[in-house]
Amino acid sequence: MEELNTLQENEKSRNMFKNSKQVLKDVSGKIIPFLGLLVLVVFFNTITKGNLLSAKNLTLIFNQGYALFLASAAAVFVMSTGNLDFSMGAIAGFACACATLAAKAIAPWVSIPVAILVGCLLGMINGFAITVLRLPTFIACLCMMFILMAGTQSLIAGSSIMMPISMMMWEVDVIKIVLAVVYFALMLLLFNYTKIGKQLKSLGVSIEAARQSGINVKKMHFLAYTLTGAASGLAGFFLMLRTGGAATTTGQTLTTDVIMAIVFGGMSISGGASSKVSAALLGTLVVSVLNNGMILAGYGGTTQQLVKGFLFLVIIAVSLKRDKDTIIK
Amino acid sequence: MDQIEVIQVENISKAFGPTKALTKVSLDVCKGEIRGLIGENGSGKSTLASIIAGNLQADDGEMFLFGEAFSPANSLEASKSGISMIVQEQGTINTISVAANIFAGREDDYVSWGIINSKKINHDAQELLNNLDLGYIKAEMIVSTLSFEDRKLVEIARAFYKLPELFIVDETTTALPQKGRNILYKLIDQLKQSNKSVLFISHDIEELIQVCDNVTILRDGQVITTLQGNEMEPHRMKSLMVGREIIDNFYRMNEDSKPKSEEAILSVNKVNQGILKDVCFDLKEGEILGIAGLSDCGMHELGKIIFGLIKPDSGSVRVRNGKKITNSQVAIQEKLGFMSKNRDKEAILLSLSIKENIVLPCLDLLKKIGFFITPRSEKKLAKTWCDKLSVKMRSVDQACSELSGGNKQKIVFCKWLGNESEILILDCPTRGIDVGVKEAIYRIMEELKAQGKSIIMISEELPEILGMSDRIITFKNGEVTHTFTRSSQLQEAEVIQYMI
Repeated sequence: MEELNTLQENEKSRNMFKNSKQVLKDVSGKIIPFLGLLVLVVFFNTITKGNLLSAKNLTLIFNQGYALFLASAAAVFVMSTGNLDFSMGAIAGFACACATLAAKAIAPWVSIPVAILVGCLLGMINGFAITVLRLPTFIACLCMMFILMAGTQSLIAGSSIMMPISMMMWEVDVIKIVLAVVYFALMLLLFNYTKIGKQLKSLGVSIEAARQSGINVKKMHFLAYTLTGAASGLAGFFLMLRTGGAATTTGQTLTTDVIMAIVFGGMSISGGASSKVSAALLGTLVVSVLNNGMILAGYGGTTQQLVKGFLFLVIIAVSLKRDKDTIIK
Repeated sequence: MDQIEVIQVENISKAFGPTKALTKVSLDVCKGEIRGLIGENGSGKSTLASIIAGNLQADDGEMFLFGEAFSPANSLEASKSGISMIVQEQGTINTISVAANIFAGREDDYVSWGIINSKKINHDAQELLNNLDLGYIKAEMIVSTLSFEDRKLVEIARAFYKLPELFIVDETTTALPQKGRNILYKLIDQLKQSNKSVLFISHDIEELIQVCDNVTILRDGQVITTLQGNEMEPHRMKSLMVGREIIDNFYRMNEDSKPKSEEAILSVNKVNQGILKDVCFDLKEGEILGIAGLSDCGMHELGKIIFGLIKPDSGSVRVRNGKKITNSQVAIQEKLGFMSKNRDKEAILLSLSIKENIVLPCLDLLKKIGFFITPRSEKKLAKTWCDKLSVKMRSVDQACSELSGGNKQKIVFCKWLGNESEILILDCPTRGIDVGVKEAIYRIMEELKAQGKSIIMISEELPEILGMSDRIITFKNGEVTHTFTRSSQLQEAEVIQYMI
């Protein structure tokens, strides 16, 4: 018995050691994204001589990053399963074109349900291809992307179409802020307080283990892709409001920006344990500040791409290493 | 037999967490000697073998190989020094050829101009197989097309590529039918003729007496004694192996085998799938049903079929109310729980927390107003069960990857008990678990039986099958061969003959 006690003591002291290490790991995982954002803000604010944080520019960042935020928050659901949705940008572009045409042809208000429904439907097609036809997610989404790019081009016939002028009035910051708050709360609720988020997260760790815990693997994947589709449609609607219509280039950078945002926000690209909706918010801020700061600082398009690509590489390398530490296979 | 020691093990100790697997074990094996090693489950046989073969490192103590200090950092180093081991578990790479398996890690000898000469590899491999009387296995065959037994023999061939100085056989014979065993015995004899040594680990006392020169008996991680030649006699060996208090109540004490009621709570009807042929049996309420067989007899697949993870080609699994189990969601609704043999990959989500793991199958029970799940209710559920099964942890938010094997297994129990499961399918519940925790698992099973829950225990370890089950069903090549009822008279040998 005494022996057992000393053994338990040993265990305890070892656990305490582990404890401090664990805390450090947890904290570093949570702090690094904030630190990254802070460094970016300070850096760009300095080289733009305070322009970055001017009231006017902050509103600009908010508006530029709005669609990205909507898309990212939903993408958390797909990415928590360890998958990516490469068609988000193309869905947003296509939904944007559909919404613009509907607004012109029928009535401006129709553009809202059209954008969301088109996105939702396309997401469901993705989900169908992945769960029923059993295509690899990557291939299914990539094909969807190519098809939609062609679709958008034939819808637009030219390089861009304009939405009705009256819709310019729709872009009101206050409404957009309220909507963003409600949307974020809804995503938080779904991810943290219902079965959906918990089950998707477990799929990102191990599909077989999740199945053995009674999770309907296909249904959950289908649901996740439907959600990102619908959110991409919504993002497409706001891209229309922002740019005054649809162009063949609408949504082009959305997909990569979403993936970057989520990883910059502190979530692992392989999903699982580190998945959280807050990563979308934080990551959107990082990517938006980066995009905006580089334009303000006068970087050319090529440089911007280069910087983003390089930073993405670094952050993936760093975040993957941290993951390997936690998953002992 | 000359008296040159091949290997000298001096005062080796090894602990896994709080459990001492070996305490100051010393053992010498001489040239040309065939040494047996026997002991109860968890007595440290395999640990000792693994340390000699370089798969594990000792915490304390020394080893000498031909008189020189020897501390292999890994199995490759040990095998270079002439020590090779074959184990109970499968150790072949199934998607590549027999030859590639035999020469895995030794391809360097066959490389010319950066390209592997596969013709020569195949030729040499075939020659080796022929020499070992295994000529019917062709070197070009892909391992996955071979039977489990032949795969084992490929492993043995691999070990004989260079005649080992010390050949360690870790309970391999339980996986082999008589033909395979005979081949192995012949090889062992060959080694003896060439003045090489063998360390032979087995559960089977008769086999040890037949094969070995001397037998060392381990109990609780300590060497009890070594019996020379004619001192080896079954009764004496048994009493030396056992003979401690814990043994008496390690498994279930009572002989009562009556279930709570004779009513079938789950029935398997004519299930056919893969190797399984027309499998039929009932599980009664409050009974522990043991399923015994060799690891490739289909019993592990059967566990998955019962839980709806594998769809049978024909036949069905139904619960008491007649509902058919078609997938794991239905199984969980009908209060079934499944503990996979492959714990770390299938039963537990390692990188998630204890709480997240336990709550996962129970989410429907926690829902408020139809969908809302509060963190507080999750925590409460997880904590309740962790406390009941005394899981050693910091908090329920700790990641499962940090837990020991036994504690992980307890989490799996928590998961299903949290969902109020009535039927538990346990596939190798004590696999890779320390002795002390094994007992805890058995106590949990006993407790569950007392509460009227029903358990199907699939296991490759006969002692626990005999010790825990009310009824035992034996499997051989996918078919039910016999049903035993609990009895203290029942011997392992009696059950084994229905398995091989």
